[in-house]
Amino acid sequence: MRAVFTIAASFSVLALLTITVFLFANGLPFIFRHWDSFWGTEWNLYADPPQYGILPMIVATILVTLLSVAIGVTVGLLTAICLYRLFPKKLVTPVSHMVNLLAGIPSVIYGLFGMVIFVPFVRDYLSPNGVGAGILTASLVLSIMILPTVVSVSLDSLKAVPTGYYEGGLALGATKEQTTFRVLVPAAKNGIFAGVVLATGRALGETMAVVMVIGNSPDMPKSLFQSVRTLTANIALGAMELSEEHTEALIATGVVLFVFTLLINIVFNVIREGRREKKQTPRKDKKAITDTKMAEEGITDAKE
Amino acid sequence: MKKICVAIFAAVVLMSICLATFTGCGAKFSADKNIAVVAREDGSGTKSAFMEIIGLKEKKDISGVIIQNGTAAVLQEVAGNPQAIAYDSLGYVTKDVKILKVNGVYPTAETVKNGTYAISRPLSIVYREATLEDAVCKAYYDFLVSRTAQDIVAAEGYVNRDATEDYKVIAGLSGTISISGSTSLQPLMEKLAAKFKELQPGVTVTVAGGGSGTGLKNAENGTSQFGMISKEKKPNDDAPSCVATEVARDGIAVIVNLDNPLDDISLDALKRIYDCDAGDTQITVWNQVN
Repeated sequence: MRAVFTIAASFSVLALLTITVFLFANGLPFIFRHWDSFWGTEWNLYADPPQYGILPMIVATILVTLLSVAIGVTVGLLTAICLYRLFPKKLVTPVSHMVNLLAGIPSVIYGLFGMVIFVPFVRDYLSPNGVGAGILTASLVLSIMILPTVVSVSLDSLKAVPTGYYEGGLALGATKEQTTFRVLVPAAKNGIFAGVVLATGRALGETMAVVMVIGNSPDMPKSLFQSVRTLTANIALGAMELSEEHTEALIATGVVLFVFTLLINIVFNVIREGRREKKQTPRKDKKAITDTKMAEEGITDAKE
Repeated sequence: MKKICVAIFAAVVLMSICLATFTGCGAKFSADKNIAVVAREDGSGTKSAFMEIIGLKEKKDISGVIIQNGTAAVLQEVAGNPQAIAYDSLGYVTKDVKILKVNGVYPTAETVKNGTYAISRPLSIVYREATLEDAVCKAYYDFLVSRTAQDIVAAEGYVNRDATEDYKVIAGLSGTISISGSTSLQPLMEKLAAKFKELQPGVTVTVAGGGSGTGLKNAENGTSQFGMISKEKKPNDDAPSCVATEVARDGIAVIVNLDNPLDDISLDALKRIYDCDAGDTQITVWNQVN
């Protein structure tokens, strides 16, 4: 019986190893072969020799992810706080169900929604140069997609904060809003941070919705309202291509994307570990400092 | 505080309903604003045929182009964007967009057939010669070149090939055929497959898209019995062991939004809109055309 469980567990490890090996074995040789071209700014397959510069796409991916996480986490966090404290009890369940429903909608429908509603809206009312597709539109669509994750994780972590904190804040004379923002949210920091990590992962890897609203021209992003291409869109658009070299270029793009995801996870883990250590050490240091001071002044016990 | 929250919430919900209903009503064409150039993805046969015909063979797109995936997405973009211009399969174009004349000639089946409309390409199936040794595939091939199928081709608005004989039904034929490739040929092929199913109920034909690139690839590696392409088959392209047979001829229509007052465009103007190396001669604004 144990064998069945072991096999199931090793399946995930096997899948991860296979993907990693496939990506790196096929992508790394290509990157080293075309090193100069790869970190350049021109993606032109028809040139002679073909140019595989993905730098504009890296920049576009970073910008889209940052902007969508900024919007999504702000709105999501405020929604969670609102649902937690500021909404009448009767509305909380239906609204949180509605938000959770957002998580189940397929991403291609978000793309359609973005194409039909957001792109014309941005083009007609927000854009200074008449272009509807671009980083802003993609970020808006992505922020809606990451909303349910952020809201549900933040809500759970807010609910996990002991009610004593809230009541203590009110007892000390703070208003409800002050207590919520200055006491509860910092106490729920870890959970909210986990939600942010999940959201960033989703925003980084989203393909279908982004392809439909971002324009897909492989130029270096200079404006929020310019047709650009992300790494994921590059792979999706070219996936039907035939030539060996082009397919290898796409796998190399996949390697870069994979490394990005790894880096983000590592950075977030480091930040989380760092914060945990900071929480635990001050106490020890304080006691050590007080002990040393007392010893200096000749006081052995704290009785006097 | 709670009442304010609920009030704000209700206001936002109302606003988004209004937004969703009325978006696009304010959009109007402006001749002084930029042309929104729409192109297909790189694996598209429509794209390579179009670029080759207007004289930009195997050149990359201009910067700032909007790339849409597939024939239908291009239509959607042009229908919603007053400044857009795009190229799309003539047989696929609907009443939601406006078809321009090119050099004074309007694309119809006759003008494509007699060559006066400049932008057209063959819609073909590619296959390995060994495929025709299978009875089911041979039957479908015979059907495609028969008068039964070509009448449907003509009825759909494409240019048909000359065919004199009707298809002869083979009793008791059964099997499956997988076809994939160009999204320009896909709607026509689906109608032909439906007709074939009526004649030969035992054979199931599945038609998928993916673009001409996919069609060549799948025919070459055997994933599909027939691949669909919408450009000329070259001997040294990515399906070297396959041959092609033309099923229909299709014009590539130049389409703009219904609000656009333009009726006619010259091939030269088209080239200057799509050319990435045009430099000073590049046309970027609508009132520079003609």
